[in-house]
Amino acid sequence: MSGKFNAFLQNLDKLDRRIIFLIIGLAVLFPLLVPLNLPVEPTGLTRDAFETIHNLPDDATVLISFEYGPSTKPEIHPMAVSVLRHFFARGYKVVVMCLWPDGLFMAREALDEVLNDERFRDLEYGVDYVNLGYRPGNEAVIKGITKSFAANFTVDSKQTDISEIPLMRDIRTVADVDFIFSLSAGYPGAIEWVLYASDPLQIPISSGNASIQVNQLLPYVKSGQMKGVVAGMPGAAEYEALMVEYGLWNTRGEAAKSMDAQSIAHLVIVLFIILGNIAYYAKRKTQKKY
Amino acid sequence: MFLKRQVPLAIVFIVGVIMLLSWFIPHEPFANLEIHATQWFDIIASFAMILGALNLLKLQGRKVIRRQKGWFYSLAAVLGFFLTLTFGFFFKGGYYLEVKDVGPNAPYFNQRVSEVTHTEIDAVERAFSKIGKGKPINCNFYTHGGALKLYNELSSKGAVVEIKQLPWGSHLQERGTFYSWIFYSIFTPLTSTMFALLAFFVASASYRAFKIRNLEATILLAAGIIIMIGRVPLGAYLTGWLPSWLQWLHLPRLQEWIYQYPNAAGARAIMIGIGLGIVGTSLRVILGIEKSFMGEK
Repeated sequence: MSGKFNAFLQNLDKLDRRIIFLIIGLAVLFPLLVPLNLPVEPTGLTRDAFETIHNLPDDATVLISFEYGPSTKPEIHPMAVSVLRHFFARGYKVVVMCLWPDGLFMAREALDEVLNDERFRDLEYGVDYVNLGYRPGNEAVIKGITKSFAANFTVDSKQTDISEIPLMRDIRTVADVDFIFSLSAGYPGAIEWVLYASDPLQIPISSGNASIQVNQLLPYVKSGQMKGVVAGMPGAAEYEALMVEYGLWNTRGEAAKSMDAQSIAHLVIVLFIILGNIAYYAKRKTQKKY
Repeated sequence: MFLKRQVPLAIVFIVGVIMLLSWFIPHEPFANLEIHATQWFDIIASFAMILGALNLLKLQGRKVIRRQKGWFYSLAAVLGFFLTLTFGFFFKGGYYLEVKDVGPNAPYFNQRVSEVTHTEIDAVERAFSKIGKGKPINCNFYTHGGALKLYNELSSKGAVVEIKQLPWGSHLQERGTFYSWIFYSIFTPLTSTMFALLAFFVASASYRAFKIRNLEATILLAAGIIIMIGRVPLGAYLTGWLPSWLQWLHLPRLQEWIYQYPNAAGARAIMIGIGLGIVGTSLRVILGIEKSFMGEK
């Protein structure tokens, strides 16, 4: 019996990866079909970002930059929607821009989703918010708008001359905005915003990122150069929870729903790691024996 | 030789020194130098894009012509390139209707517009209560024929509408254009699929590679597991019962500590190293010691 069990453990090491794929697929699919409604507990990093935004002056103008595409959309888009809702709910003027070409579509989708809500339907384009669109040049664009918006964005995404947009009349450089929020999945992204705009001009900044990118940003958060960070899909779910906690929204959002699937997927990966180690030790024990 | 060697080195040296000085001198002519420099960068980057595109065509085209291994993937790349170029520069689509007057049959108008824009009727009614010089219906059509069909429907009920087309530039982000069709129907599913596959490969790789071989691997594994479980709601759920004196073992708290201290310290060390490396390399380039940008070793 023990011999058979030992052989089984050793064979686990050669487990067909298609079985692993199947189990992971089911682990992700099942909670999406049958929501578990696991409670989301906001961490300090997300709370810092949320409260910085929440405590801006009532007449603040904020800049939100879209630096992600479809591949990281499930992680970052829910926070884009929540942060935009937060901005509009607090009555801030919002300037949208993109440093990634895909960001243009992401910005458009997020704005459409947010503005479709009853509460924000009366917001006027060009007065309450503007979408400046995408400009190539990566950090050079950020550096450029520290000196002049008009030199870098002659027209907005609708091809309207920037001088004809009421909201942009008082915003000559990025120094005229009160807060920057970078939705970033890589380069150029949040780090470039800190290095070239936020830190030199002392503009508060926060960021929403793909989980994998967050460890690069933490030194900036710890040094106070960045006011919190919304980290990946868990961060987005936490931001949604804070929106509910502050009475700015009333339903569980997309990220919170997806966190059930991520919870189970992470658990399954951890179980696989444990199983892999058991198989490894069984094999090593046999090898030592002979 | 002089033009190929000395002139580029002199340009790099002069521009590098001027840009360095401009950071420390907030007065004219240095103060606005950055604006010009970034615009030059944009122009040069645009040419670089053209060169990049030509290079892509050259490499992939050669593979197709010579029928090298995997030539059909190269063919897909070349076709994708021309298709995107065509829809970006020549055929934009994006026909829409601009309303001048709702006409006598407002309920029909609101109902129909609500259907095509997927908006509630009262929202449509409110939106078109003040039209001004003209208000667009938020629904774009790929073809003129598509817009004409709705135009005929609304006109027949007395509404005054006009068919218009999105201007060049905004067709790159609006729905109902051929470019956006490429983005939503080809690019988005492809990139999403590629990224989604990561979950499967991460699981498989973790199973095979994450082994407790030594102390370092054990620490890495323990930290990895705490982060993986602590970052998700399940972590809070599993350790939510801990008494207050054991709260430091609460998984979300533990993972945040790992994130904010050991992880941030490591990331900071790497960043400082990279920063010093950038300073060193930049100085080597400015002083002409590093010449790899000219194709030299």
